Amino acid sequence: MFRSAGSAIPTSAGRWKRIRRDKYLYLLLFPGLFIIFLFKYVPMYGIVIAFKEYNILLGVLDSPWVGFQQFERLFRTPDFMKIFRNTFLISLYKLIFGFPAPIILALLLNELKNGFFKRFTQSVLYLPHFLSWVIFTGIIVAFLNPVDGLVNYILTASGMKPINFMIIPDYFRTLLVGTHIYKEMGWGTIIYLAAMSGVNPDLYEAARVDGANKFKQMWHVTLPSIRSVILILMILDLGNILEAGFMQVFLLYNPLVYDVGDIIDTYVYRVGIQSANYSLATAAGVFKSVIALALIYTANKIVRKSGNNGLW
Amino acid sequence: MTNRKTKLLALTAIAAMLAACSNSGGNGGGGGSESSGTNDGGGAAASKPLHVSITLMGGPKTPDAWVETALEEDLSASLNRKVDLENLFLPGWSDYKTKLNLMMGDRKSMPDILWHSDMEKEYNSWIQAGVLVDLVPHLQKHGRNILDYYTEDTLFYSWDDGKMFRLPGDVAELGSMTTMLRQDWLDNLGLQTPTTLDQFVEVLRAFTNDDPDRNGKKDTFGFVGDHDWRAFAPFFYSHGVDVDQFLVQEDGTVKYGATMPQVKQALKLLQDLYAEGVIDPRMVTPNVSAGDLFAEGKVGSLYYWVSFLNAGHPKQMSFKEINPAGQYAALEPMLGPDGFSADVPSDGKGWSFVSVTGAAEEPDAVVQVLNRIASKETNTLIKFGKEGEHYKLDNGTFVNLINEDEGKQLGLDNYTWIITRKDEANIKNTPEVIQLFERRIETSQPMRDKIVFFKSSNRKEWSEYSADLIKLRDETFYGIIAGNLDIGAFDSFVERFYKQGGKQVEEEANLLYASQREEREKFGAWYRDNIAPYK
Amino acid sequence: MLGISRGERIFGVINRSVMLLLTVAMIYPFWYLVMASLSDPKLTALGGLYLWPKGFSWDAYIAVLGDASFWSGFRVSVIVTVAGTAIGTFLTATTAYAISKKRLQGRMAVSFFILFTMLFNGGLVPNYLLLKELHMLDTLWALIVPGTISAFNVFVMRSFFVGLPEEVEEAAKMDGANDLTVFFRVVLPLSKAVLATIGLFMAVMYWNDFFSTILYITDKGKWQLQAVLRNLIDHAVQSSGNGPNGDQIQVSAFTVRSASILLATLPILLVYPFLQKHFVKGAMIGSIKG
Repeated sequence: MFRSAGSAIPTSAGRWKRIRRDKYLYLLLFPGLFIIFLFKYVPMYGIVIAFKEYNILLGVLDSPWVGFQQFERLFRTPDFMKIFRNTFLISLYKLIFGFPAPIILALLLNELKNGFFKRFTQSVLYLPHFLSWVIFTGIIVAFLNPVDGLVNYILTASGMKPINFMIIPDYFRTLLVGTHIYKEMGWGTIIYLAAMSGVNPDLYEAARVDGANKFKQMWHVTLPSIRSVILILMILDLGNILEAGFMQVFLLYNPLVYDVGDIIDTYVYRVGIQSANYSLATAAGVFKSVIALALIYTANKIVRKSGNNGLW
Repeated sequence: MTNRKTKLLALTAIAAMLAACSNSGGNGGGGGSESSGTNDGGGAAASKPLHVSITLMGGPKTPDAWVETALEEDLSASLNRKVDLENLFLPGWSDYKTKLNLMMGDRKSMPDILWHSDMEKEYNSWIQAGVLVDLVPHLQKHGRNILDYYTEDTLFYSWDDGKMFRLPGDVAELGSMTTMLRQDWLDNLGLQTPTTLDQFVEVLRAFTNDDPDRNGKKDTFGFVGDHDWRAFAPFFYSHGVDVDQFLVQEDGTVKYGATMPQVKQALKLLQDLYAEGVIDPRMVTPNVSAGDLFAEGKVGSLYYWVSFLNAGHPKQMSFKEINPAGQYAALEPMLGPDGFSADVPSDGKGWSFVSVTGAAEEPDAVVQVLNRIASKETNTLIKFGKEGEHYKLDNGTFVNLINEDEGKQLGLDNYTWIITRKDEANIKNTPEVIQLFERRIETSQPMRDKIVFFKSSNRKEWSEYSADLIKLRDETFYGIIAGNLDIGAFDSFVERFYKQGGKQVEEEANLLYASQREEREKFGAWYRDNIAPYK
Repeated sequence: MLGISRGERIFGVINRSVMLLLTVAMIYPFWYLVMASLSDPKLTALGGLYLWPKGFSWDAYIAVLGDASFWSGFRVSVIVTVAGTAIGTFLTATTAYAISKKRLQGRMAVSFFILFTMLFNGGLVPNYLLLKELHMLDTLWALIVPGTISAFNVFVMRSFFVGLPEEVEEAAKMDGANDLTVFFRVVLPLSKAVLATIGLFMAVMYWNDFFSTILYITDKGKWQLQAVLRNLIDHAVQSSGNGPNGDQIQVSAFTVRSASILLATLPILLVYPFLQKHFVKGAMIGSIKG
């Protein structure tokens, strides 16, 4: 894991030679690494409160150790399997449906002729990203409102009875995933467009000469050239596998959909209100992070095995 | 080209850093220096300026506002020394606890006057750490206004075995909610004012089905409210139950309200009404505020805040603008099948508090400040401004001379919830509304006698199980009302409740109830000796 | 130059129509806010579609633009965003470039080191204590520095650097350039697209940040704009019965909230159009040839 590939001096004595040879690279590396160390690693000791009974009075260091008690408390909750399942499924659906969406959209955008319409479209598509969930859910609710929302207005006008969408468990996850995609799809195209801007136009010409139509060009030229970006982003997204989106769920859920919509973070939040239990929240966070780390590690290995560049 | 870009980047960074430097130069929450008075000399040094830092949560949080200067002048005159206030505005409702915890983590960042709410666990750890000042000796010397205003019952909840480490900052009126319905709709349909639950239900049905606003469309609802159980009070209270509280039963034991058999009847009724379309379906989701529906005017009845009936209340004004002929009337609570009726009582405990921390160099003077704020004149001043300039009183009726934005700029309400008076000092209440408040205190008494308002924050079983029990209750009850579950689900709820920790919770509740009664008696005796003489 | 086939023309039409529909859909929430912000406050009792303003009034904008807190928040956010983005993009680039070189000794370890920070975080209190020790509390630095490097950005940039053709760098090296010169004079100019991308991400991150304010800032004059906004909008009091009565919560008019959101979001929305030329097909290639 710590090989240094591509060097011409394989011996360990050569290690220092290599370091001296690359001294400017280390110089470039240093400031960023220092900041990361200072602001991310130094405070990391706070994670230990997941293993303690955190007492504000005593602070992080002096609060008593309780081992895995907080984790047990988390797993012990009657609905834990349900909550975990919800968290996992919601993130999974968001990944499966939400990951390809910006890619496809970027491909389509790429095909627009350069000009005002293209620039305008690009700038507009990412607008929803800037809406906070607080605002956006207000608008969603106004839309789906069983009394005067647009959707129900159309339904009643066509003679049907109004439907209270937000309390139907079968629709809830779809609502979460759909609105998530809507909000983030446009923003996600930015990175792919940037990658596509690096594709040599000659390649397209060559493909066209070979008789390839638009779709074949997309498949054989554009996609392969952004493959590494896609893979990297996919691995990074796996790092968020248990982040089902607290703010969104919290603002959209209600007791009638707890069964399908209550996630780890919303549950921990409600417990926190009753008992100010910071340790529990931290334990939940650690639990999520450990799983995420395992997933990222595995995914990265697979990607590297298939001959591509991984995250490291 | 490459050099230029790099240089540009570097220059921008440097320029920005310099700008940031000059702004952070004047940093420090300390602002002016701490009161230069040393500890010797206490309050006798009347000429030494007093610096008081205070955390503030309510109002527009306007920095450097008129109200700050006005209050400082008022305090300086009253205390006979220069008083300088440092306002520490807290972030919003989702974040204020985080901020307070951080501030209290270090003596240097603690405020002199600490406002807090819903932080019982932390409050207790602060007491144990010794960072809160015992206010009793200071109140005895300088706390007359405070001791006169707060009742013995209220102060009980802040009493800690002979000491008091906090004072209520805001106590809701003991009866602040009422049944209300559209008088004009009653008149349009030629109906009588309902007094029993059955009559009430019939009126609601008529409101839904008989086009009470005479616009030719069936677009009205009988009943609406916020997404909490209090909003359904007419239905639950008439059956003698509150599903969110612990209630004392006939035999003297304490039971969690949601498990009482009468709840099932109330739920069945609600389920039927929901299915008929009498109850606004938006009540089962937390997304819409009843205040907006109140103003919109398409709903016949709510169980809501008395203050909304004030002519000057923003929502009332919106309502009149949209529905010029509309009129809400306040009703007596509905009588249930067993002849019981009651309004929702407030606990009298106060929902937010102020404490004095160890960071205060002159706690005695700080209590003087709090006492002055608690006076009627100062309370009115910081809430409404100066008479003649910002408002006037036409024969005792409050008339605003400024609009909402001007009020914000002046910072009115910045100091709300720091011992806020609800009596005549709240000049915005019309005489009718004041009467209504008083009547509600009476009508809520039957329930006040039944509900156990817990004082202790050390409720181990409740902390352990409550989140799951509440989730279970809400899932079941809302499910029944919305028709997703049938009424039999109530019985399985009760079963699961006791299996999932409800048994331990109720046992604990009974124990606490008993020990609290004892404590209350002890307090009564202590109060007689230590507080009453100083009022 | 081959002619455009019929199939391609149809595709073009469909593509443009789809884009048009999407554009309308994406714009709608903002349209809604604009209409709401221009409405008469007394008539906005409830939701509704807001295809047009209800009544008409500039009141909301007058209120927001006349609010000193809004402007101080705005000023702080501009400073923090500009400084943070400049510093952060630069440092992210240097770090990413270094670990993009396969020959760097310890590259794997460093990459993992950085990745770990993306998943594990010490929590609020330790971060607060650290800044306290560094005497950065209640200063603008607290808003700028901790956010300068994010693991996600580093890895994205690194992947771009890895994809750069090696010949260009080797050519420069043969002319006697060292790693520093190569980085500044060869690599950076070729990386306009990714620098613009990460720069945009960072600018948006800084602009939208409210949490740093809550943690580190006490003086309201140093609140970032989004913190001011959040305080204005956030009336999500816990309904555990332990909050102020519903009638006591200061809820600004819906119109004012809408206007505030729009005004607070507008500046950052304008950044992308300026950077767009870097996202055009073939933008990067041109500079290699040149």
